[in-house]
Amino acid sequence: MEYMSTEFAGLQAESDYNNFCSMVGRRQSPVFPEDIAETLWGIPTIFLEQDALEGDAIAYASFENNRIVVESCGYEPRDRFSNAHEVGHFSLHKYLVELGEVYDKHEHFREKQADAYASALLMPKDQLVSFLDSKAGLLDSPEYFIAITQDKFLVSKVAASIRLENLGLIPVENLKRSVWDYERSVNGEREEWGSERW
Amino acid sequence: MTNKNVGELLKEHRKDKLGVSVREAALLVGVHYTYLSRIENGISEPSDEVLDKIAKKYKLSQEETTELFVSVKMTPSFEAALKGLKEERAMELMFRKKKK
Repeated sequence: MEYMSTEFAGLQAESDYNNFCSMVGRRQSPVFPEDIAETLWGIPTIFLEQDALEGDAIAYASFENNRIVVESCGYEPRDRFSNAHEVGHFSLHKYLVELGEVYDKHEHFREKQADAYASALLMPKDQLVSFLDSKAGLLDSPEYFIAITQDKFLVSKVAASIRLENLGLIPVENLKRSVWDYERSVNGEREEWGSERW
Repeated sequence: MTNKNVGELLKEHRKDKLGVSVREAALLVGVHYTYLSRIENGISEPSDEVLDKIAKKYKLSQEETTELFVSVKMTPSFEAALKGLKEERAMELMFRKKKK
């Protein structure tokens, strides 16, 4: 199995973002992952509207046809994360396929790596920290950090919470709460906040 | 005259003439970026009205505009491209199911 930490995946995202900025001659914020894929590797992204095809909305990277397909789930921040995740597969994993690796081996690790890549690409560490420095004070609540990160970087509450928690900027309790809110909104009624699982 | 298909030609003009992303170009033209991405990738056929708008916003010359309209006819079947995309997606779904 190839050795790659999620931290490395994040660094790769930041390196791709910086290369992109050098190529286009400007910083982009918020980041649009399809621009990174097109500018760095000439990979097009096809966007499909919600319910354009049957079944659940999916996003995938087609190494064979050299393209990314993103079907909208109807919530743009989530679509952007899916898009960035697929860009991550191209950046981190395409060479493995070219080397003849069976792609579905070690799937779980690759998904985690692509998630780490997406998180760092959409919320570059330097930008995120300097933004919070300029907007948030030491006494502001973690909920406020999460909300302004969502607005600035066009990401979901869960994505913002994971990134902030990973950077040590909010307590893990707030991340759990964001996940709980999300699961409740998606799955309907479930265990109460404060129950054993949460 | 070109032998490029309409998507390739539009992508080329977007980059050469405007140097902008699909989203930015779509905003300029007044169409949704998802639609423009499908046109550029040969999945959706642009209407004459949309091509006209694009030609104006991209500031194409008369010759380039004519070339653009001709290129729609040069484009391999949009239906076939959509079918290919559906098949690719079905394979992806099958692959995910197998993994579960």
